[in-house]
Amino acid sequence: MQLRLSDVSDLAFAQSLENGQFRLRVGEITIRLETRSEALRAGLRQVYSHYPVSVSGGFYDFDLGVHPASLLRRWFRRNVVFSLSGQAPFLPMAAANAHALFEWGFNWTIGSSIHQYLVLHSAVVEKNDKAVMLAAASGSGKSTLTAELVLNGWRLFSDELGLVGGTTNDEIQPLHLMPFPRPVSLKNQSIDLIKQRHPEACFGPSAFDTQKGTVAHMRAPDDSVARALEPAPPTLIIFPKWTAGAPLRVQPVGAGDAAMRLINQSFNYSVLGSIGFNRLADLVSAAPAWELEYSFFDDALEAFDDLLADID
Amino acid sequence: MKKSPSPLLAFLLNPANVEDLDEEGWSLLLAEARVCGVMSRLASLLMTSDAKFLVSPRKVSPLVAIQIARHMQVALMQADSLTHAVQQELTFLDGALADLGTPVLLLKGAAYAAAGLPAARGRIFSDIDLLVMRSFIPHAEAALMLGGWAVAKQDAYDQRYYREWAHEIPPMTHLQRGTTVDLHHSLAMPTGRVHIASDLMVAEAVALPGSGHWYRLKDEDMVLHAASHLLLNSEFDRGLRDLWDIDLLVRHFAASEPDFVHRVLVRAEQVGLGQIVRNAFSLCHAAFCTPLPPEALAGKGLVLCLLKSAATTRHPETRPRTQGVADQILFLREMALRLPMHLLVQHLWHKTTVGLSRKKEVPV
Repeated sequence: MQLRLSDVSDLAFAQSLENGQFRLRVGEITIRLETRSEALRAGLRQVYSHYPVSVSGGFYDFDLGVHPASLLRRWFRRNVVFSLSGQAPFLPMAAANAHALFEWGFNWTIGSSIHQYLVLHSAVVEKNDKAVMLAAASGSGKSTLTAELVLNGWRLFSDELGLVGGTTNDEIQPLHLMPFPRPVSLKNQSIDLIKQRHPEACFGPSAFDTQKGTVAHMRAPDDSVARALEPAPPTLIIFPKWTAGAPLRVQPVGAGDAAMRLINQSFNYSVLGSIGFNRLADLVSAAPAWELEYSFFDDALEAFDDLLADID
Repeated sequence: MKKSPSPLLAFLLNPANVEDLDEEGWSLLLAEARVCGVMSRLASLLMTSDAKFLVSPRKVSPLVAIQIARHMQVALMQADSLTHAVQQELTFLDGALADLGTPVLLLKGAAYAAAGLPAARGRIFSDIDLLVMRSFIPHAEAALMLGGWAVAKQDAYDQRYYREWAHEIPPMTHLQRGTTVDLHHSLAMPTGRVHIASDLMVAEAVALPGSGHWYRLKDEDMVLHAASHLLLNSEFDRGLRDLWDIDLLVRHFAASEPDFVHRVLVRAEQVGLGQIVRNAFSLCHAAFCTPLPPEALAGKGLVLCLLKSAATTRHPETRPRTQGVADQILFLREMALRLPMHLLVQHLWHKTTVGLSRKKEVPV
């Protein structure tokens, strides 16, 4: 796919989304997306303009849809529902929030399907061919820190899905983290915080009153999207925690402890069986883990650079 | 929505039919398999365990072939992982039920797996179905509770539905592992209008080989149970898979017992499933070209037409246009078959007023 979404006319874009010919590629994954939602179309224009697309069909890994929940809801409640291969596993959301629904549905699809990777609920960024995994529960400021790192020159792999592939010492498939660069999901005060610190950052539409409050997606950097097929070896695991007013604290985490914490954040550890166990063991052996508590971004960024510099 | 011919149905009639699919055709085949819950079984027929295509996609680019192979390998791995989990769970269950003093039957997926039948290959299922005689239900439930399984919290109505009317007690979930067991005392709802000689079938169960204390229905009854499950339940999202089970069971048993189908038909009359098994066989023959003699194919009636629309591919691009309507009618028919009129009215009234939705918020 040589075509970028920014090269596609509004008419061709809308038509291909309606007639099932639209394809969007993120890294190794191609989706077919079908929708008539104007809100989703607008959101995609804002945060996916630099992604490879097709408006004339072709192979797809997953067929996603965002459609009116029912005839009645199309006109009265104005709700839309997410579907994978025609099945709608989740409750409808307000039509205006179609883009957020698409992002979450897409994440769920990947997390529950691509078992060629051990999929961890974590962000991944890269610098100098060293990938750093940010693993933390929701609400710890993981995505905000990811946005901050990415806006300071780190390459975005993902703010949500850490894809661990390969095996240590395997020459063809060495242990690696695979990029899956998508818009970074920010919520509530984080949105304004990042907008203030980085006026140049581009955002998609804000979704109000979701179960997470207000959510907005920040466009992934051009370079991260262009290099989406370049994996990197895992080098560090960070468990970040933002605490108001706390002094910077960097503390090592043992490999066993790190592994146990990562299992709790995994989408498919149990599906992978012994492969999952071995890959997780490889990961925590290859990448030392640290707990990082901070209240100022600049402290955290400096700590990231220091920890990475120590690896050599 | 524009309709396309179904690559999945073409594959089921003859696997060689998919060799000429283009890239979109393969994508649609995978999507259909996903929505019908047969991805792993499809993978086991498309690919060897060392990742070689048995039926190769020759009209797609090498990159797309790799991507298809990856989906198949993942599906095979999921099947392996499930097989392992089922074996482990059966060991735990066997330990918990060892002193029960009555035969415990495995039904459906767990039975296929424990008996090593071809129908087990790539069959994805979430619950293990067990059956004991009704008088042993309290003992079995107590033994399972000691082993860590517990009936999930339910409202009083659902408890009563299961305890008074149903052929099983409410699902029991293991508190640590989260695995679920459905404990049955009959093969069909005792309140049902179709009377099945469940006790007769249970009485002739056969012991399963291996270290456990498990039993399963005898060969003919396995087919009959699968047929009754397909025709008397409204789980159409797995209809095609259930139909495929019947095809695989019949082909497997008939290979070593030449008069197997005839024996199934005789047995069906004995236990009250004569018409049901003929309807199931008709559907099976239409979808899989299952080798069946003409007398086995005398399916008839409106229900057969409705099931042709329901127990088939369920992808929006390939499913029959009548599927939505057929689903609704079959759902009402199932309720009507399960419960006599006074209970049916009561049940529908309750479910309408409390709502049936089980969907979750999208995970964020």
